[in-house]
Amino acid sequence: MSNRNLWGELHEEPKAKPPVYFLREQASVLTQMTKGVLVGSVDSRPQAGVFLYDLDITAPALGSYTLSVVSIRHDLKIYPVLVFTEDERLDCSNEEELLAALERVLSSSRVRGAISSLLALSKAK
Amino acid sequence: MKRAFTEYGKRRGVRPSEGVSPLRNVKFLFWNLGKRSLGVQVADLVQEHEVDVLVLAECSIPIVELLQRLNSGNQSSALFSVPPNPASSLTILTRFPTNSVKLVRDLPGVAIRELALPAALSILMVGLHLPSKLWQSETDQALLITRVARYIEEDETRYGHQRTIMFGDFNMNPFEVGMVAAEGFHAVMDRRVARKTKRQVQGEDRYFFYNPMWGFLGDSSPGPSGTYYYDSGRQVNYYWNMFDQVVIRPSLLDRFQFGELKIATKAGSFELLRKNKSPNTKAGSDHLPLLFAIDLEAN
Repeated sequence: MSNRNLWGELHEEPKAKPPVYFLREQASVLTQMTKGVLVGSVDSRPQAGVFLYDLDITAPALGSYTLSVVSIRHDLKIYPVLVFTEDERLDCSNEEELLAALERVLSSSRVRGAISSLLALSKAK
Repeated sequence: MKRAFTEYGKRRGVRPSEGVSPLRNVKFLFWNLGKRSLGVQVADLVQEHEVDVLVLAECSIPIVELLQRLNSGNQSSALFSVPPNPASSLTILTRFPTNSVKLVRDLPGVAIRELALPAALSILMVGLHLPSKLWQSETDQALLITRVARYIEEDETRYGHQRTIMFGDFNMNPFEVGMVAAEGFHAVMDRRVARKTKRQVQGEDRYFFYNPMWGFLGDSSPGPSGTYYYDSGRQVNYYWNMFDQVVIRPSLLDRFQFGELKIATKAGSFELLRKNKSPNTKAGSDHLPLLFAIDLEAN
């Protein structure tokens, strides 16, 4: 006797990339750009239906000092995604807004200044 | 008679007691300046209380001006300098060699450093300025605190000890969920409970902090009833809040100098409280400064 399907028809995997994909992509870009002097990584902490990811920069030469640059948060629906830093919170309804928000944060003077400092401190070691 | 100098430079000036290692009483000052120009008041507090490590939140004083104020006057003391601080919004200065304050981690509003002085016990120092409840939901606050608590544990594992002291503007009272919950900072009011080190919650070890600030709540204890005064006008209105706190892991209980823990109400000649005992925002900040000390002498 065949099993009864109570799930209905399952949807295919969505074509949209999950937000964490873009964080991992930028983590990899940073590592390559700095030739490993700084290492980008993504820390994930799902909690009770909330998906929380931190984009971190680690400086191996500085005792693996880690700087959390930006965080994103969403629930099972994926969008809207909240992009947040110490100074701001940006609600993103779709992938385009998410990418714009990430670019704004990652290319900000605060983040670029931090990266410059970490590179200089690392190279001075 | 001048005290003996340590191997890493000059320390505070003449003290009545001779032969007392300065590492026995390493002094910290935390103050949320509320973006006010309080350089004179900061320098007065530092000099009066012989502060070694200064951590400021919402500091808009240019660092050069701050250093000049801190380093003028008493030239027999070691000068303040700025350890590497690539990303934190907190301003951190110290009399110790800058290479004794090592970078560990920064995340929004949180700076984790290792304080590793020569011939002294190393500790993890967590400076905080958590977001105000005005700018975030309870969910945001709970998630942030859980993250911070987990990062602290990760760094403690990495450094192989739990000699951690956490201080700053938590934007929470000692009794709020984020401070007391096992998934939060798990900061308890009783040393005997804290000395148990940990308890199991839902199968996981959750480590305690001890929070001495409970003992400062209200007007039955000496000093002000809190560190931040706010008349919310709401049903639940505490008026005085203890947002600026220091909490310590149980392994530092015997080294924390409880007699040195103070909420400052004066900075030199400046009265930081008005006659009605609310913070004097003309002479000071809307937060009161927090002073404490710890014995870091290696046994």
